[in-house]
Amino acid sequence: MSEVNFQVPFDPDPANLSNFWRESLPIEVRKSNMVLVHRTAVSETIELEPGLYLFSARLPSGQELSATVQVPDEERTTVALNPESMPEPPFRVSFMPRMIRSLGGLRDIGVRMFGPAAVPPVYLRLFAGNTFGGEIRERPVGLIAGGSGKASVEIPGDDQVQYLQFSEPSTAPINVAVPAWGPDSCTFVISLDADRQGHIEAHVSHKQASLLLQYSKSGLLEQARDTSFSRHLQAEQLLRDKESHPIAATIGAYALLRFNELDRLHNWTENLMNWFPVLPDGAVIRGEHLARLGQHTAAFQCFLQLRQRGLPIFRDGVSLALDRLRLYARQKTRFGPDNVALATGILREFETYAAFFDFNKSVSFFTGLNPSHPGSETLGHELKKGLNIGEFLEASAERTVTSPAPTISA
Amino acid sequence: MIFDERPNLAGKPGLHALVTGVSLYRHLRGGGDKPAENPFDFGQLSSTALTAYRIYEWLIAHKDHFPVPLATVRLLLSPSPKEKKVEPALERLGVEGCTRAAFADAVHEWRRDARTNDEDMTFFYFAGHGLQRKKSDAVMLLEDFAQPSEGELSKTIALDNLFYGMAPPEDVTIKMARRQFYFVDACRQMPERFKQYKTFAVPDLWGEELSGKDDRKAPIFFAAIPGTEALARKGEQSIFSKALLDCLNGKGSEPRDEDANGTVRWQVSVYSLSEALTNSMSELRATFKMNQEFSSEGHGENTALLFLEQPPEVPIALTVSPTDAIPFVAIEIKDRSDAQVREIPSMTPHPYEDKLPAGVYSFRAKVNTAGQSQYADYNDLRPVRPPSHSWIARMKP
Repeated sequence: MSEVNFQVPFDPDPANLSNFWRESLPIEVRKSNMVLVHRTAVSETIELEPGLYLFSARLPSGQELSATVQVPDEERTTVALNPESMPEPPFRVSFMPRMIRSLGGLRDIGVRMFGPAAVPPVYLRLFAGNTFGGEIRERPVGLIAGGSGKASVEIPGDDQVQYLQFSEPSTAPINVAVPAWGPDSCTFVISLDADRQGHIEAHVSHKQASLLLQYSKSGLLEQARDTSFSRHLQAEQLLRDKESHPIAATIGAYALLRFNELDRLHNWTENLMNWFPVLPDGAVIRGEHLARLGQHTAAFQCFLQLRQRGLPIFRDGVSLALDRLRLYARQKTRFGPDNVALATGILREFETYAAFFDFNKSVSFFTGLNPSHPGSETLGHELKKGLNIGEFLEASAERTVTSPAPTISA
Repeated sequence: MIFDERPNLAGKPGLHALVTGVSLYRHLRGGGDKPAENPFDFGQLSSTALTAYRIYEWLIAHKDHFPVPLATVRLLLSPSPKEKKVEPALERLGVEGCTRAAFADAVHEWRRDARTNDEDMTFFYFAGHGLQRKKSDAVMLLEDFAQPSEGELSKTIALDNLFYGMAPPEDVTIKMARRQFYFVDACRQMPERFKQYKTFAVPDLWGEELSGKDDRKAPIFFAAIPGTEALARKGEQSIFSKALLDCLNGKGSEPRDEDANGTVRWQVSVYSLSEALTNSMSELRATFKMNQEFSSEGHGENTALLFLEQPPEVPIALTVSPTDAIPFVAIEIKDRSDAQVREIPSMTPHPYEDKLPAGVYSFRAKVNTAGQSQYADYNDLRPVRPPSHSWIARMKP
């Protein structure tokens, strides 16, 4: 047997925020007849019998890295995975693809105050709280850095759901749930491409969770599954007391539900729900886990918690909640009319959002003047609330603005 | 039911298919029946019944290629007059139209068959108008949609209702197919008018029953991502079904295990199909200059849908770099047994395009030194696998 390790020597985008993908990339190992013999990751070392092997990995944007190597006997071998041609930066396919329409195209809706070469205003606001019941409060956006066509906004984690609102004059504002909680922060990168189309990428701070989201979005289910099984996304590591990573745990749990890996979920979905009593997704994940096990009475109680917790951060949570609440709202005999009335009330809240929701995005993403009031009302030309991100995109030199530290509620 | 092998299977596991396609909507403009009180913006279709028929044809042609034999096919079609002219079999078959009542009857029988054996498989395909209420959702509009004097969504089917009704029951003595494949070839937009509704009540297909442990492998493939349309060229099958059949016929295949003789078996699995559909839809977007994307939802581990009898044919494109070397290069391709499979004496026209059965090949770019001595031969060993393979002979001094 021989030890084999891996390296990814090229770097298409040294400035990319997410350089970690090198160590986390899932790898397929095949014999010379193409039969699969191993699944591993770049950071791992494996043992192989001597012989000819085909090694391949896929980037989230679909490009393949490969190598064909004769593994000798009783020797250590390093396999360098390279692309046939230099690929685009691996996270060009973000999990929040183009969100703001062509910034230059705002001419079409009557904005004249800026010339055709200028970037029209795009205002950012940050809100936090439970969308159900109108308990949303505005807070400062935080650190923004930008210039030369790019701007980044870092949103630290909190112990409540946050929404970043993007608004342009004469359009309905977009509210985006921020995948950040506790130590897990999120950075939004807004950029203009050569056609002056606005792009927004959101990077969760947990590296492997971000990679998992990318693969899922790209339809690379095999790679997504391999990543969800990586040791870096194991609940035991993610939910350890002071070092807990609830957002990464949430992303991992949704993936395991997607792949129906019910046994791998164990009972840590209960921990996720109980240890983070405000996190909406924790209740959905635990509820769905129990429902898949056929434990509907216990599952029902989990979904009822959404009244206090609010709209889930992730789209999967919204969709699963809609499914189960619709199902359970018809079970008067089983759950009793009073409980069913509660479930029906929560379902109505969700359906109010569903009408303005974009289910193609991975996080909760809906229009509304305020995150607690989904709708399609547009802003007037005079509205200038929030920080104008367009100024950062248009600035020729890099600059940073640090707004007052966010007020974190107890 | 148009295909029934149950007597021959005698209780052994089988694949039960329900294939439905609606082009003719009776109560919408041009449908010929009482006009809808509110037709929304939906009109007649011209490809969806034909699409469903093509799927049916494919199932029959591959009836022995599934992990379990094809056991039953239930087919409901509501074709347009134009489709009947394009494909006379649509009339000749004489199958029932896809009304709400017919669909409900068929789906209950289909589920009854799927409850024969846990090892059964199911295959569901719908092509027609659709709308969306949330992510993993499709409301499928049937032939008698918008029937006057009925609720606006009374002649529709909600996919989530269908899907959850196919989960294993709480009563563990009742079997249920654990491998279920769903394909919804319909638009997924929410009409503006529906945004006024707080509830989107669609009549249930089943009684009030909750599932037992839901350990299905049950992917759902949607022809359109949320909020978008599914497209077709008039009188032809839908764009999505074209991509789907291309993938099922080989583009979406992958090598898996080998048999006792060392022969590698090729299959189309959920994961390989998902990846291949992404590529195929991308090609079709470029060909037809449209923006349709598909999505895959549902849940479950990877599982095989289809086995191929032999490795798929893979389009290859061979190029020479730098282009100055083209006149001096010939290429030889050999398989794993060192047998020559291609001799390409000249790389003009460039690039060279061909097809090879999937497998591992050695590519050798040989320099014709009679003309020059600037370049050296270039060798490479490469796997050739779907959807296509490109190889660059990087000639160096």
